[in-house]
Amino acid sequence: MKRTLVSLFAMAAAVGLVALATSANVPEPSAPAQYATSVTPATLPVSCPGDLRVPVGSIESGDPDLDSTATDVTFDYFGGEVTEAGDGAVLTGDVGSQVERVGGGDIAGLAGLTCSRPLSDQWLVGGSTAIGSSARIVLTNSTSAPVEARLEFYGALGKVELEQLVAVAPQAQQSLLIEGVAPELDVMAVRVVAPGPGIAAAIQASDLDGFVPAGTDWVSSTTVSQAVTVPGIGPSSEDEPASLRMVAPEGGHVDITVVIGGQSILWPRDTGLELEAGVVTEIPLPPFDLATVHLAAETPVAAAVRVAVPREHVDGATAFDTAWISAQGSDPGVTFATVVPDGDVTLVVFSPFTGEAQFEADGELSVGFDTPGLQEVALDLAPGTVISSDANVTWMLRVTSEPGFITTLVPARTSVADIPVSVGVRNYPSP
Amino acid sequence: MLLSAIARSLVRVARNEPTMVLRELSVPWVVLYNLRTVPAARASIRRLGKRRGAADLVLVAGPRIILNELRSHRLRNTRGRFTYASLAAPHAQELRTIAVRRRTVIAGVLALAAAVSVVVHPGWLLGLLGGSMLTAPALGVTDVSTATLWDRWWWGWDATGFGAPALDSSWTALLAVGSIAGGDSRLAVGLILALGPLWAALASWAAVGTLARSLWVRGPAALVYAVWPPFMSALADGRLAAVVVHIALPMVALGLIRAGGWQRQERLDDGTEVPFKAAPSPSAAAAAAVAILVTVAAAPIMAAPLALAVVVAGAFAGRSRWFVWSALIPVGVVAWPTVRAAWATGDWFAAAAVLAREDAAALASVPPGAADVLAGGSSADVSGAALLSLGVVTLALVVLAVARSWLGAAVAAVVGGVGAAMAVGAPRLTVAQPDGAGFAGANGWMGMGASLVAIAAVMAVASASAGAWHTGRGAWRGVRRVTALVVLLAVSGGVVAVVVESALEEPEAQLSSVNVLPLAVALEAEAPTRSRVLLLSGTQTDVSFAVLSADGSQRVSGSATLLADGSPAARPGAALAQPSDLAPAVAQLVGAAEATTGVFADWGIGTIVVEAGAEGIAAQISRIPELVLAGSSDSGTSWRIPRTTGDALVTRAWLELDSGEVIPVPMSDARGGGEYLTEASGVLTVAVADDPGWQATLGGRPLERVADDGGRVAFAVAGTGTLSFEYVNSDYRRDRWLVIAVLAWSLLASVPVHRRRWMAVTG
Repeated sequence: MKRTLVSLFAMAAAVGLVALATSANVPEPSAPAQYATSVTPATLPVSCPGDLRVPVGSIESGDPDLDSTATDVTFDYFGGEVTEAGDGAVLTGDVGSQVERVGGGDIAGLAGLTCSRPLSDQWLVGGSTAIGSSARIVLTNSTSAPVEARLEFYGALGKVELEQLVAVAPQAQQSLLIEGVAPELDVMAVRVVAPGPGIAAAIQASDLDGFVPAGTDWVSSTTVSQAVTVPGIGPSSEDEPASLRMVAPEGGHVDITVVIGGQSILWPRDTGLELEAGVVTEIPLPPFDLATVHLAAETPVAAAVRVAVPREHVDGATAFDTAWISAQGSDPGVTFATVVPDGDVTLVVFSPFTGEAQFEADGELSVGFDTPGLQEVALDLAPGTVISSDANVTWMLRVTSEPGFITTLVPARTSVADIPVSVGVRNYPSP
Repeated sequence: MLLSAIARSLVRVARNEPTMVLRELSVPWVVLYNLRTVPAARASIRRLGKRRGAADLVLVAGPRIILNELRSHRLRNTRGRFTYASLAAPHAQELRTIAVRRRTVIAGVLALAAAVSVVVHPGWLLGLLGGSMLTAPALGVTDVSTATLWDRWWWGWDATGFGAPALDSSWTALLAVGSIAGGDSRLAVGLILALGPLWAALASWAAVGTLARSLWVRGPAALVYAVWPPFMSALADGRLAAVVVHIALPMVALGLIRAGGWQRQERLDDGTEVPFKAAPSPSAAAAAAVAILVTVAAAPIMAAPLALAVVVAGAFAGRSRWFVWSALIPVGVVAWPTVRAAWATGDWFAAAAVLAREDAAALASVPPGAADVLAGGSSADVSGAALLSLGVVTLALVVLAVARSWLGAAVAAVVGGVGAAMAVGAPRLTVAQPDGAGFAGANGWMGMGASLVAIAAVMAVASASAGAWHTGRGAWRGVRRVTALVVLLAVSGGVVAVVVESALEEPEAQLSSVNVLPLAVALEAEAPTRSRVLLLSGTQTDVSFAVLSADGSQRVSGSATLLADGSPAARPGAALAQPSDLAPAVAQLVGAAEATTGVFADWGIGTIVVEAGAEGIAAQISRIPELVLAGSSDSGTSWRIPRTTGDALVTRAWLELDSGEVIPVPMSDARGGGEYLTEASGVLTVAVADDPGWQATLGGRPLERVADDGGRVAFAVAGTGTLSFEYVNSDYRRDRWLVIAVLAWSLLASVPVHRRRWMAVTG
């Protein structure tokens, strides 16, 4: 009996101990502290890609109308002191631009862009590597350290398997003909990833219709966001419609609104479009002289619009000049700017609200909106004047020249955006 | 002979047998005295036969026999060893047959356990032999040099991160001893983990053998203990302390049972048990004390249940009770710093956390419920674990139900119950705080308690199984035998299931090259004028960093126990500076690529290494003009950090003179100094977390501490002479000497010298 009692007592004590331990609270073990902050990266100089290249090289046939060689070329950088970086340049100002006018040859037309600061991850939407087209990507490293950029190519069938790594020395430049590594991309977008300080990238997109120039322009990086706008596009006609090119890295639904005059229409249909992840989609836009395209997507989307302006060529042929206009996001309070180039320059502003949009350009410049929509202001400013605004509008400069040449300068952010940085301490190595 | 006598006398002292000391010491002199008869004896032998090897020569006793004769009979100081010669011929033959069978089975069990080790973690053993080391998130690198371990143990300063005072030393001492063979702890730690099931099988085979002579019980019990699911998880996670506890616990049980003289003897077919009576063994008690010391050093939480076990065992040990209770001394000595620190917290919950602290290899885990513990695993484990454990538990219950040894059953229930309570309770405590150097906080691990449950279960089974096969009659005997066979089958299935599951599980511990930093950087970190290394990995926006004082983060030697407020348990109250304080500077360094290098040099960080693959960070760092590219390798790219003023190397200790000149001062982890012949005044800065234990002298004169804004150690220096500084913690030193004394005493006493009474055969 005594033994049984002792045994039972021992077991009861054991059960009691376990029950007591089970009832204890369970604290969460602390993870190593994670420090989250935002830092302002060091400001890096803006850089420009430099002059255009004739894709097939300079070929002289004896007939000036058939020669590929660029003739009657004028080229200028605008904004600060210029330091050479390869074939391009590094500028001392907070913002800069370059515009080149080629009077004849395969790449006849106006081509310009707002020079950019290095970016570590950027999308360039535009260009083609189909037969008759050429896309030359120019990478400019304005920093003091070497940078290795990874190029990803996207087409109508999605991401091209082959990636390209390009190493760029400090204060130097590398260019690459994309048709050499990713040919037959009728519609194309390029993602450039360069760790660290990043790199400035631009694509020279040139088209040729037989021996007839079909347009050349620079494609600059575009904003990737769920809401983007391309203001002041045009002209677009039944024969030569402007086209909207889009790519959503994660795919998803997108609603496209085309604002023509005071009227907004959902395009190409009321229900919007489903974009597949990484697939580059291009749609023609309806006829208009001047319009704005707005995209609202469920995931971030990169977009650009191509417009083509016809002109007469020899023997009754029609030549074109093209302009690639990158989409912009909306960052109220953040100053965007570009530099006014030489030539006929028009400020095109789209505002979704009524009221006044203030600009700085050697003094104040005000653009009023009685109704939401688009306004054009012909600028009579000295070349090299910086024009900027922090208003809640999207805008650009349209530059034109006879006989039907066109290019656009989409403003760039003047300040460096703070980046969120999360820092954690850890042991090393941890498998 | 003289040396042997002295050594044996020391053992007698350690075992509190003072009367035997003189007898042991007298042996050489008695031999010398008797040498006078040798010439006459030799002459007599020569007369008997001229040829060498004659039959008569066989009868001549050698020195060993003479010594034994003297010790055992003339001095009556030796318990006779059990010999077959003392038995009747049939019994001796039967015993020899049993011994052959036993050797065969143990060889099979050990082969199976070794096979399990290899199957579950293929590659570990070969990798270790090939020069790699095991690393784990909880463990860090395991190739810690003996010198580093010695420094850590001797001075009590944990150099991890910016350093912190260590609470106790026992674990580091054990590891330092284990590291002697290879020059570092890589092989010792690796072999413990890689062959864990083998060691556990060996230990449990010996322990179970004290209570069960049946090979059918010993074999399966040893295998079950060797693959106990929480133990297998601990191996995979690199929870070194839990593994050591699991391996040491059977040795504690073995020692205590033999100390009390409760071991079962070999049972012959006619029911005779030989040797005829088990004798209590003081050396076994001392061996138990050593095993307890190891266990408590690995896991202080084991102090309470083991102290309880020793007290209870001693209470039933009759005249040997003091031998058994002597095993309490190491428990007390090793656990004392922990108890003192727990008391100093002044808070029950904090005290419990300190008592349950896991300084070596703590890792967060899912707290188990009571049912999980009985099923042998946490809730994350799968069916095989449950199958195995349920089999064991069922077996234990069945045997307990028919147990003839009510005392054994009760003791097993209490020990198992305490173990289950620990297994359930410990995971509900935070037993390790984040150390600011990258090791995360962790709740307690169920494994120590689960190991107690396991040892209680297998010992209870062993205790109650003796003779169970032959008891009962008729149908009842049949039922018992069938039940036993079914349970045996279930256990075998469970063992296989656990092995398969463990083999499929991806272990946290991985093989790694011993060089984790670029070689040049690692070598510099070991130089006398050493500096720390800032290691960066990840991306520009999600950065991880580590501040390393050696080639990789070290946790295997144990960490300084930190309290919830960040202060060390050894000196509660003031939080220490930690590497995590550098996070804002790291964010600026990587995100903005701005020169914030001064703060790194202030903490003796002389090199930045960017892990291979973190190109974004490397590109950012490469933009900072102050940094000097030092090299690039598969392990990463490294840059040197210069001082903001002067050309002196960045070191962990330096003398900054009033003139602005900076003189690097050599130091190891816990001390340093140099000869300074030029009369000068300035400030000696030691870039470690501030602690009042740091002292400095110049020419033998103590230097005064000065306040340092960065939370480092600084002294005002004026004059010439030998500059010397070191970390001194008097409590730690006293504790360390006590542990050394107790360990030496226990080791000495555990040497199995025969007792003076002839008990084994004569009864």
